[in-house]
Amino acid sequence: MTSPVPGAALCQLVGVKKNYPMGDLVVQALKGVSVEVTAGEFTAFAGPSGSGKSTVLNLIGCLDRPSEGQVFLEGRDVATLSDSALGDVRARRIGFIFQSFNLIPVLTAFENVELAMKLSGASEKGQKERVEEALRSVGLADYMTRRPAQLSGGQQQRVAIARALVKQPALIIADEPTANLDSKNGAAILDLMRTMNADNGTTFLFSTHDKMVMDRARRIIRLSDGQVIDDERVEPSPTPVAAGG
Amino acid sequence: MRLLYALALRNARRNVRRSMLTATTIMLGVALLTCGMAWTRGAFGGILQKASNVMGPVRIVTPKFAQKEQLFPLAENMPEIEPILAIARATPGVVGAYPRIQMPVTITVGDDIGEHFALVQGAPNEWYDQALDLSHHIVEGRMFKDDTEAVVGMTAASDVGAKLGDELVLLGQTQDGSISPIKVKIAGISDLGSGAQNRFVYVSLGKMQWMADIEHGATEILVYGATLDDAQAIGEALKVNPGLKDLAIARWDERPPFSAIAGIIGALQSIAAGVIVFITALGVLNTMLMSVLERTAEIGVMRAMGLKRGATVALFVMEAMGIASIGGAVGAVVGGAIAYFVLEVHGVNLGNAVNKMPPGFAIDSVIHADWEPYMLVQSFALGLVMAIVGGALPAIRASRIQPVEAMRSRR
Ligand SMILES: Nc1ncnc2c1ncn2[C@@H]1O[C@H](COP(=O)(O)OP(=O)(O)O)[C@@H](O)[C@H]1O
Ligand SMILES: [Mg+2]
Repeated sequence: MTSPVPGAALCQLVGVKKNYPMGDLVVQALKGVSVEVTAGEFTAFAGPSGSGKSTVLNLIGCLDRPSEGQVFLEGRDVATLSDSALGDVRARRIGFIFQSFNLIPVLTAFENVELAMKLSGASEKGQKERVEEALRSVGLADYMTRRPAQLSGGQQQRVAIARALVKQPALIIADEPTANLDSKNGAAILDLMRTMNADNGTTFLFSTHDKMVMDRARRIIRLSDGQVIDDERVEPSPTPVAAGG
Repeated sequence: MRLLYALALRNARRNVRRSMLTATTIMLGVALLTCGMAWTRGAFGGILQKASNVMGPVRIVTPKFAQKEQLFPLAENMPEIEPILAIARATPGVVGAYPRIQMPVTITVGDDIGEHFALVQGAPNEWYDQALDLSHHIVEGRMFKDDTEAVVGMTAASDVGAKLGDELVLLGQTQDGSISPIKVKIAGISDLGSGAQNRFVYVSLGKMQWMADIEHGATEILVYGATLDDAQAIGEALKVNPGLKDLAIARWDERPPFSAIAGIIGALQSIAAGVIVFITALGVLNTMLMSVLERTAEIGVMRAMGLKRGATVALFVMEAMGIASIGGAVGAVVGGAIAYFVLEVHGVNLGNAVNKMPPGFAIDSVIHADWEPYMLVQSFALGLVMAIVGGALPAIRASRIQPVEAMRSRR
């Protein structure tokens, strides 16, 4: 098992462009983005809607391929990997958290986490314990047998975090994880993610246009119109909960 | 994977209304198939059984007789039948071998010069019992007792206005072509349920041999096994028997008209079943496609988490099969009940339409379906086929959903 080495380049975008054909037109979603992310980061991609945040996260998460430029993940050029190899990378090394939670509605909280675990190809041994541990760590020990519809939005997003965490990935990607939550729940989710980052050293990359969320990030990469316009590192605040104000 | 299986079955219960619709479609398809199977088995099975009984499951004739049998060539007979009958009866599986002579005649009652044609048939009494069950199909009078009497089919009898006890004159031929009239007393009038059979006059073998001037012989020898299925083996054994090497041996379904239609019946049945499966599958396709489109985001999530394309296909096909197993089970039982209680026990009356069928097709006016328990299994299995066929396309579509859809979809 390769545990992330703090400071080593976990992923790197080099001159990445992404074009989407739209009828006769071509939408340039990314116009040459170069970014390097080190293991252990807790980084926000910030910018207005349509600035390219989701597109960047898709590329880093191996959900999509760049039109131009290169994407390296753990030193490997993603372009050299087949679709099924990309699938394996996603299943084993990357956890996903989505804006609309995207839990499987017919599975219980436990089963949602278990499914991610199984799809990652983790060994059968100790799976149940790991799933329970993941749900306990997000504070849902008493909700394991509930279905998503029986959980609040905040609780659903916690399940999603447990689902991303359970396979102990190198990287967790969260596209606007708080956009569907009220500010209190949103702050709680961010704090939870930050605790996971601090305790396990899991790298978190997330996108947001919410000031409250940006304030909790330790690095903020600002995007505008498909380009990086600012890359700012924030000193770790000793009390993350208070930082929201 | 157990979890995937559970997921598929729970997905099936997710939109209960839609799944009910799918299940109902499959139920109707399966019920229709069951009735169709029982119906064709009853209708054709009965026809084939009767026809083969009348034609002889396996028949021995001279090669020249086989060539022009429509002309009733009496000259192409087997003059000594005893050794041939002995060989046939010694063949494994054979339960009976009977000589027969048939010829066309004109029939008249009394001194009238008739213009009415009929077919006269001469065979041993055991053949009339076993192949035609003639004595149980006599509607007036009784079975003939000796060479002076005959049983007349009801159509032939009414053609000439013959009544019980009348003297019937049959004008036929001898084997060398000279005119040969015989006189018989009508002992009984028969109804074998088909227009063709009711145009026959039945006499003893001896009377027929005398009329045709074939003293110890016959034109045909008909060989029977315990069931129709035995005809295959019996036919093969007789064909290789050196004692019969100068004779023509043919199974009933190798001879006209069945040589032509046996294959067609099978093909038509398969096509009909195929059409039902296809139409039902279209219904399944419709509802499953709705489910796939509705679940784009979550399929994207699972694909992002590493669900393989093949597993995605399996997920939806299993869901369709889960629904189909309920619809199919109900359909097989409901269809079986209809097939048995309505079509088989009650029967369907086709009226006079069937009386216009050509000779050889001995069709009853009331057709009874023939439902067998194996149809439960077979139609249920076809229900699953409907689900696989109808579920395949939506499932493949689901597997084409790219993982990136998980991010893109907003609700
Ligand atoms: N699949 C797509 N097809 C066409 N255009 C797209 C697609 N995805 C994103 N875009 C366009 O690319 C640009 C960046 O989109 P996105 O990365 O989703 O921005 P953000 O997440 O910052 O709102 C937008 O102009 C958007 O319309
Ligand atoms: Mg976005």
